[in-house]
Amino acid sequence: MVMDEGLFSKRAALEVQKNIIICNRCGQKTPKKRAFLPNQQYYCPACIMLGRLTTQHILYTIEEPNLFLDIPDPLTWKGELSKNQLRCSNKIIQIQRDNKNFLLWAVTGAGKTEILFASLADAFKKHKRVCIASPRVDVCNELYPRLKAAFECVTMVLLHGYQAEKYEYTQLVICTTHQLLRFKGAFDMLIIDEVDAFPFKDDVMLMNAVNSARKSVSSLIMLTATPTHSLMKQVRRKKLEVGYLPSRYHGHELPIPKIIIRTNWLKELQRGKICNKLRKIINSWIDNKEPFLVFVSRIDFLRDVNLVINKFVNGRCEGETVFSADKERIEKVQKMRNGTFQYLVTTTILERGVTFAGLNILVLGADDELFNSASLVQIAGRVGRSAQEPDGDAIFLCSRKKMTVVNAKKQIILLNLKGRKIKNESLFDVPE
Amino acid sequence: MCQSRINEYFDLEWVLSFQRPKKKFLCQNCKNNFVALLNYPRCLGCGRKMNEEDICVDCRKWEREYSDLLGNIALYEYNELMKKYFERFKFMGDYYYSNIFNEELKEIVQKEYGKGWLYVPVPLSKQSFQIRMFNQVEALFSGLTFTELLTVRNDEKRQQSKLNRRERLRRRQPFILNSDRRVEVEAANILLLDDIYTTGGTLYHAAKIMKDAGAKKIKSITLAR
Ligand SMILES: [Zn+2]
Ligand SMILES: [Zn+2]
Ligand SMILES: [Zn+2]
Repeated sequence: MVMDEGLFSKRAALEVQKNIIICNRCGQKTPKKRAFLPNQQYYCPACIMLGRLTTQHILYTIEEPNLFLDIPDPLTWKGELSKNQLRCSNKIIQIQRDNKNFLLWAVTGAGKTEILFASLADAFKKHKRVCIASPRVDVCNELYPRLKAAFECVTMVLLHGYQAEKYEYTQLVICTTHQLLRFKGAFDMLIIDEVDAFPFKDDVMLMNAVNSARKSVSSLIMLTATPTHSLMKQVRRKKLEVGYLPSRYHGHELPIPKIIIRTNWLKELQRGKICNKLRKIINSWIDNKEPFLVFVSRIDFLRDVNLVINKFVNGRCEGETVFSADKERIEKVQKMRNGTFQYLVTTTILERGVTFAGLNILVLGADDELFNSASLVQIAGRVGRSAQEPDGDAIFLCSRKKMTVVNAKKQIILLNLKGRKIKNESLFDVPE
Repeated sequence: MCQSRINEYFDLEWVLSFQRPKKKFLCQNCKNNFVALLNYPRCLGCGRKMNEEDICVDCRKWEREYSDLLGNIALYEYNELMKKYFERFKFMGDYYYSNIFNEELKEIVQKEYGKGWLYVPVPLSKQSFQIRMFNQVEALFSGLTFTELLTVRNDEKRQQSKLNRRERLRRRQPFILNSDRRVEVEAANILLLDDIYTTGGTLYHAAKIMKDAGAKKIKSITLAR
């Protein structure tokens, strides 16, 4: 590639210090022992999935030229927003114009993507370059066709580690948050979807990536169903503006989870026993022909749990186990959808993006370290996901009381409260 | 491998041994998902899993072609997880991942082929070495004293993964014997070391050179089969 002097800047990829190396692409520090190559060079393991950077590399950055076509009416989507959605939508247009930061706290099913459309259209008209990033590959894959349909004339590219599509210079980039490391001062508007789904330990790397991918004058919109502690801290200190969209599109509230503490539930289950409380609940689901999902924390529990439930159900209905890498996953989920199966025993993988009408959920071992408050709220959000059948139970079975479980319940109560209050009040404030 | 935190646990054996635990590079879950071939009946030629100890169809072909089998010992099955491992270690170039199997590989080499054996790693082309900056075989077996007898022919890029089985088998000799070390091969016991035993082609090509140069016994050990 030929580049004109002055249009780009360059610097070494890695900075070598006494005991650590610092990566100039991802900002991560790594002990030399972990980053060592036998030819006396170092590499950065933190962002290796983007192609290995070593001490021999130099990073070049090209200044963003914002070379985009005039599109007088970029939004080809013709849907309608509810009153609350419209208010959020207008707010985000303002944030985008003022180049500010904003957190949109919207429950699952509130129609987050549609709320963004107007502000995206506004940005595209002004030749702004926009990026929508999510920590989750499946979210990106789902967003891309929807945006393609909503903005037919806008150039866009989908980037993540699992696909071979070549990088192209486009006005809209949809990518995983890791891919943000490839950009420097590139975006006028940066949207992060499901900001809570980012693994905790990588928070620093995410923030580095976000800060360096956006221009110094730009807007940042973060979308979440369950804000993390650090985000809420910023909100409380009035460093971050927040907007709520607590009601689901069908207007019904989230189910308040019922927490059942049963110290020995795992041992009981391994002996093939289910406690009375659970028996009653599962029986009522079966009697009312309501579908239910049983969440377990680890793949190795699936089979045993299914055996016990199968025995308890005793032919009254059918069900199966399913996990992320399950070859028959799609067929099994389809059988659940069309009612052949009344239940599935599953790992956390199904928690986002899969919907069943009138669903109940049971989490076995909600206190397991593999569930955090965010994922528990997400799981509860699956319950009763349709306008016709908005109700259902969310049961969290724990061996002890744990903050993550209690916090999940608190967040749901708070969200429902907000939802009720919001009717005529402002959507935008600082929470208590 | 799965990025999950490794739980260091202290079992009775460790308490009794009064030793520091060996540094663990794998969580229990990942460890369980690597299939240790030495726990199963295997092919006497290539080390793949069999219903009973025997010589597999592929190895019978090698037997006809080369008369002697390599009696390959492979530690693990090349399954999905092993594929992931090689993606990270070899193709992304995360050198640190060589630590995961290094101890085990050294142990088996020393146990099975102790004194009187020359350890000959399968070499890497100049081009691949320049990109990767390490030879993955030498990295996996590092700590052993290697005898570097082989070089990849200049025109031959050793990019096995891009060739299909047919092409791989038909390919002509990819290695040359380093001429200054020819004497060392004569009447020597040679242990060939490689990362993956795929069709056996690579190892039998190397073995042929050794045999032609007068080696006495030729065997092989790989991480995966
Ligand atoms: Zn890095
Ligand atoms: Zn693991
Ligand atoms: Zn064989």
